[in-house]
Amino acid sequence: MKKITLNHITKIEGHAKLNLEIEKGKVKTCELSIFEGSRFFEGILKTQDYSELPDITSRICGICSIFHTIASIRTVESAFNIKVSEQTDLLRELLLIGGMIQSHILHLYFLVLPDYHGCKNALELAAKDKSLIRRALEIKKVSNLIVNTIGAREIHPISAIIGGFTRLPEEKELKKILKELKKCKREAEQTVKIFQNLKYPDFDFKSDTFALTDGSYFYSDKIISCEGKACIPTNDYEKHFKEYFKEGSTAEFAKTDDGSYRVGALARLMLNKHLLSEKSKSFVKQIKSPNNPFMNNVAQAIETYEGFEQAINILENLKIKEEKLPEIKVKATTGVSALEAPRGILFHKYKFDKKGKCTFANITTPTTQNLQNIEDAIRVYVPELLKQNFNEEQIKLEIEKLIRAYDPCISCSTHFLEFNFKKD
Amino acid sequence: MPWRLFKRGEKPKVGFVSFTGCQGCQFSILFIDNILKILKKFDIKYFHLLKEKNKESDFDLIFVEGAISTKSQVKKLKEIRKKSKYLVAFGTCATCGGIPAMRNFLEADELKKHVYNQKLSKDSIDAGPVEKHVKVDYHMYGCPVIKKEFVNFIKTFLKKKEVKECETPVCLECPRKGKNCYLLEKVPCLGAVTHGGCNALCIRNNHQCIACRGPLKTANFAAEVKLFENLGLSEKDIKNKLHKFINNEKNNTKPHNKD
Repeated sequence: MKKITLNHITKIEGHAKLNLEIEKGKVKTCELSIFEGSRFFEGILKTQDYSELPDITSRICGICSIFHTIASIRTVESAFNIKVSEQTDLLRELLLIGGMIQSHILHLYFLVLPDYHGCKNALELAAKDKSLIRRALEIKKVSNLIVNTIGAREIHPISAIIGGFTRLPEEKELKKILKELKKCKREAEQTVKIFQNLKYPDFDFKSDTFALTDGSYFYSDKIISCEGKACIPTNDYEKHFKEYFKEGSTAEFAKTDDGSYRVGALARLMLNKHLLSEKSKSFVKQIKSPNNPFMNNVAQAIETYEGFEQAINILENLKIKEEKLPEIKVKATTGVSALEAPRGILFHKYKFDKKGKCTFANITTPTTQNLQNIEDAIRVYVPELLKQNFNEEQIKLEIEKLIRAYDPCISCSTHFLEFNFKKD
Repeated sequence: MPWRLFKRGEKPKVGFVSFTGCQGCQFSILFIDNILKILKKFDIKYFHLLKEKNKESDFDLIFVEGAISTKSQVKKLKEIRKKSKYLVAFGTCATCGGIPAMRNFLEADELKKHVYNQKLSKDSIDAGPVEKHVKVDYHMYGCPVIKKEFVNFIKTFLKKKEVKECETPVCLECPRKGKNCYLLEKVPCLGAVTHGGCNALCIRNNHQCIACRGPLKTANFAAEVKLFENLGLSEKDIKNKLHKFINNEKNNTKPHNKD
């Protein structure tokens, strides 16, 4: 029996390890365990005033703090029935697009691309091909500008609050973003080409995929769709996506009655083609194997480009006017909301007492939802690698590439379970 | 400077190690426009987020991110300290415990419920700052750390000069100072008890300070609590506000024990 342990999977967000036992060409054990120290987020949110929740939940994760902030804000708003202005929604959409590009670009160029160029890391890649990393940095700069202008900080945004924004961007600031976006759009298009042309492993792994679908491409929240299945209203998400814990891991996992499923860029792209610009649609047509999890990298590149298209579109029509924040009337109630974070659907659910204090919180992150699917994919992938006579080192590298394609965000998925290390 | 520094013409050996937190501080520095240029000046030995072969060798400079929340983390931290000439507590979780330390204040029955569900591991300890366990040479505050402060730190470090920490409250940098202080407008702002050095970024964006850079050693917490009481905040609300970032045992502030 062969035992493979990846002790600390690198170039992903957070701390994860994998135990793999292979017997006679078959995978006997495949356990993805997460050894992030737990922070009991759902516990600490209880008793907090509703107004504190966005600032706290933002800290669940450094790379998708914007998404946790907005999800939290919108959950409070849905609970207390707070209606925000169209302008607020547009600015939020812009902020989310900026965050999406930030996250995708960092992942694609810094964490994924070195693997495909035979480099150990981004520094080595930068030394080898300056133009590649220069492109990444330029796109990153534009996305940082969006997030900084609208949210006031790149990580853990400040100005987005319940009801709207504490500070509205000035017209000249928005003009600057628009100018930079237009200037840099070509780089985003090039990014799609780069990632389309990488040689991905041939791996067919069909799973259910889910994405929000009721609004615009980057800003939906009410309806979850899945190919060939009935749509699910966001309010019912807990009935369909069931969370559970595994021994030896501090993360939550989730599945539906039909097993593990996938969320994220590839799921969104395939389910929401109709919401894309013409150019992105033509990019999607070139994805010949939507069941291949490695295609998630291509999907992230296309979404980066689409982010440019949609942000430009919003900015060309946006005229900022001063607005009064809506009044907040607290009551005993429940709020649920969902949004598309870089790695997939993010759910926040809170219950409040009549004074607006949180009495219950449940946060279901995209990585929680993808983890079981990652494990299942490894189980299917490893025998294929063994058939091709890959040695242990090669298998390790391929598995890491597969895990990285999902872009797991471990901090996100470990907000609940206690650290429980299992010794071999 | 008290430590023997790297030799002339030699790249300092640097590491980034992460414990319990959101990794936002590491991401923050990856968002610096010319970060790869900066990193090139170092021999990067340990950076899981960026590279795959990571060695716990000797470090000239180590950045420790996150709060320490398990016994195994304490052990690892101590090993790292032994190997490092200069240790930076990197971000508010590492300097003060930050959001992860909020779990220390969970009510007993609440914790029990979690225990009942998942077995609280024996490995777990109260989440706290790095300094609770090892000596810290520089505290880089912030949730997340400020890119500019990081870049300045690196520049000064490479010149082998002592880097100064900010010891004044956010108020000194506040645009509302002496005019329209939030406290006068009945907004519960924590600027007076919080480490400055952020140029009052939140207040400049019309948002009160939530103390994300952690408690100032010299702050008068009793006075701040009294002020908040006068604003009509309940005891529980005040505790909740303080416990977000001001929960550092080291500073003996312990607002949770004060009442």
